[in-house]
Amino acid sequence: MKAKDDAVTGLTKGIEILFKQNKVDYFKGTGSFVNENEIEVEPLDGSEKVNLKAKNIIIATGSEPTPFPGIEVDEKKIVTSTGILSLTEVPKKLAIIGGGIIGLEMASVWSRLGSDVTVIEFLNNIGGAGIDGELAKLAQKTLKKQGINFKLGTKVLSGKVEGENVKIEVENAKNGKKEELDADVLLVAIGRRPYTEGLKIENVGVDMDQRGRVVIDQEYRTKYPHIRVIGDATFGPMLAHKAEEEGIAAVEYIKNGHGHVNYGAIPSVMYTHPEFAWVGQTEEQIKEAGIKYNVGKFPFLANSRAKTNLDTEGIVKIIADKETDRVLGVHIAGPNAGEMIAEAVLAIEYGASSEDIARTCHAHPTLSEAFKEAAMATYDKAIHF
Amino acid sequence: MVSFLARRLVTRANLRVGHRAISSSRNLLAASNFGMPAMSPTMTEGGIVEWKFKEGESFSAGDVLLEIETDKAQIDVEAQDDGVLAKIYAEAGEKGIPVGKPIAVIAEPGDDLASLKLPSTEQSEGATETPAAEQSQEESKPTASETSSSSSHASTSSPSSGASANKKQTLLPSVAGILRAKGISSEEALEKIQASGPNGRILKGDALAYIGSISNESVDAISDNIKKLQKLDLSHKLQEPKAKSESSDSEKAPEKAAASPVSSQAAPEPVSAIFSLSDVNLLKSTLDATLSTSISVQNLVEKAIKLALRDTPKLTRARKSILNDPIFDDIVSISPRGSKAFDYKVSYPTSSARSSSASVDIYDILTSSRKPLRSPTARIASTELLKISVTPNSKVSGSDKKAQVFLDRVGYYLAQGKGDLVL
Ligand SMILES: Cc1cc2nc3c(=O)[nH]c(=O)nc-3n(C[C@H](O)[C@H](O)[C@H](O)COP(=O)(O)OP(=O)(O)OC[C@H]3O[C@@H](n4cnc5c(N)ncnc54)[C@H](O)[C@@H]3O)c2cc1C
Repeated sequence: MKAKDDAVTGLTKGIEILFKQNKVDYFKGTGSFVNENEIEVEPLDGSEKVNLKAKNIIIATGSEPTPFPGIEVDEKKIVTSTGILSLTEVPKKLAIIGGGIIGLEMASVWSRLGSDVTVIEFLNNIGGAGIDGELAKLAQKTLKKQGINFKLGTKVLSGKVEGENVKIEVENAKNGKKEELDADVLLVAIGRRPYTEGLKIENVGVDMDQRGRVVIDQEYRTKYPHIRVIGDATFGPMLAHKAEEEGIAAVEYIKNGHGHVNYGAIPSVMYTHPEFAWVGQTEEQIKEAGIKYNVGKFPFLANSRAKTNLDTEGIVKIIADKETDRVLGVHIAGPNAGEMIAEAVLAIEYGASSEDIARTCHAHPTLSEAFKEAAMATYDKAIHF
Repeated sequence: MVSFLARRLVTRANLRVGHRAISSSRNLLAASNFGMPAMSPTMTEGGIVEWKFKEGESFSAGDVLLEIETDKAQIDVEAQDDGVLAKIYAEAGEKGIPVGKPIAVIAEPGDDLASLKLPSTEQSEGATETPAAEQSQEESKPTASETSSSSSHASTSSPSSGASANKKQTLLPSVAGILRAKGISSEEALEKIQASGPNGRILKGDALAYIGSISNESVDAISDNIKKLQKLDLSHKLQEPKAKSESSDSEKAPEKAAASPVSSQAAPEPVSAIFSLSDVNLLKSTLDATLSTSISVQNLVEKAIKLALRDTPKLTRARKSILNDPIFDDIVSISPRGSKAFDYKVSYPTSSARSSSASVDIYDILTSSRKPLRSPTARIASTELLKISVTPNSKVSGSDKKAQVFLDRVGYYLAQGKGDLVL
């Protein structure tokens, strides 16, 4: 826990120094709209309120965990992703509602620390929206082998703290069978929603949608062109690198009138062990779009570096258009998948074919050779498998 | 040189004014001349009616850049890609500009206009052929539109895909391999192959299409697919925002005007509708006669309501999107679990004594098969009318839309779904 706190403090202090270096004024406090050109800041240290006038305003207030209706979070026994990272001891039994990325990452961490983890998921697959079906199955299989229990297709009816325990009532979505589980700690990780509370956004009257997102256009503009919204607070995947790209693009739009984020090439990484990473379209999406495609797969079991490191779980899966061979999606499970995905993002950004990847030299012995072999398997055939 | 341009010609059906699309920026790293487009095979010269953008302004794909006129028509020229209008050579009012002659300079989005080197405006001979010697200069060559059929038809797609290739690129290994196998020089490739990759990059598919082993349509299909995904997906935003946000984004479909105010916070208005039961009565008497049983009208109405309730969730489900899972949305939306989206009450009102008002007459009611009438005041026998009042649950998102869909569905079954009512 100390290592975590040190890392977080170090990184955030780093940002404050960068602010100074780049002459960014930093008002530490809660901002709210007075009108569409004026922001009031209530400083954290309790000093006098400040009013700031601005020609352009970017809202980047992020997101908060979506509350589970009827389940009250106390951040001790019933926690969100915030509370679970500050537990003072390893819970014997940990129940997690939601088998999305955050749920599975926490399941993976705490199970390695010794908790008996059960993941309850309403859908019939884990990994959340956007994961390739094959990868989702693989994730379930490997995590199960590591001792994590899954209850899929299961609805949570209620969750309450009773003494030292949390009692969770669940129902099988198919047959309606009810069951009661108990746990020392319950993590609610059913997704996140935009956070705009406290901004007094109603003072300017921008449009909100039913899920609390500020309505914007392709250039992140609200109905006031000088007020823009980026990152988790608005549409698109809730990812740090997506928020960062949008921040840069939003400023470019203000400054030059044009900016660029390629939403077709934003990678997702699930930091479990092994890692899961993907970019582009899933096999299911490609099928649904009616595109004919080739799939190439290569298992790390056949990769020399993985074998030497005794870390051979996982595969590289590349999907390319059948006729043009253009890479449409890459899905990786395995050691350092999160690093390897960068090559796939580059391929998609530049419109590469699987042949282009395969004809590019990859060092031996590295994990990246598995990537090359998967590309070979996509348009032709792998050599080492 | 038949150069870049018009992968998809958007021609709006309008007799006098057609629209054409230009692909303005993809082929070059820096700025490129924008030549007077050929809007029809016979067009040799044209005039500028109006520029819709000023120098220095950026435009997005689909924006109308300018309006040109020929002896036959006035035509809107649309941009296929995003770009910046760096310089205008031919101002509004200029006439008789030969096809291919530079009328403006277009830069890539992101180019710094201050330091931009404007391409030479010298034109190569003829718009269709370029001597290889001029090649280095050629990347800044004017851009004539690929021609195809007449300009006043619905959208057509030009035979070639992509823009002309960026001459400065290093060929991808796959492309180089194909060229070698076919004995095509890289000069020829850069000159002739239409590039569908970013910044005029020739992709493997482009080379395959060039040698004829796949069709241009395959390349188009896949680049369209990818293009769509490159934009921020706003499709899963609510069905109806309170008011439309103003936006220059031409892609945004106009939201349907909501019948009732939509907001998850404000308490939704109860809606009610009155339906004519004439069709159902007719159905009942037919059934009674043929089956020699008696089915009550109420039974049929119940069946219609049941079917409408079954349909409502399906019809109100948000459009599918990669990032939007309807089931997930459903479970995380801020609604108490298991709570209904709306409550409804059914009654069979007795007709009011007032005679038919001027605005609604009996004929309207009897023929209003789809649209339930809000407040008919016509005199009608009581078994002819059914009133359903629906109160949307303000805690369930989209409940008022669901309520409306439900009412529409009831109307549908009562008037047109007779088969379903009997089964
Ligand atoms: C447990 C967890 C794990 C994650 N792991 C990953 C990961 O591995 N990789 C990844 O890419 N993404 C990950 N994410 C997502 C990532 O954190 C977000 O996508 C990213 O932080 C969004 O950036 P943002 O700038 O939009 O918002 P945030 O980073 O949330 O920043 C918003 C800031 O605005 C402040 N704020 C809010 N309202 C006001 C106000 N009225 N006045 C002043 N300040 C205000 C908030 O205090 C906050 O500091 C994870 C998220 C969680 C919860």
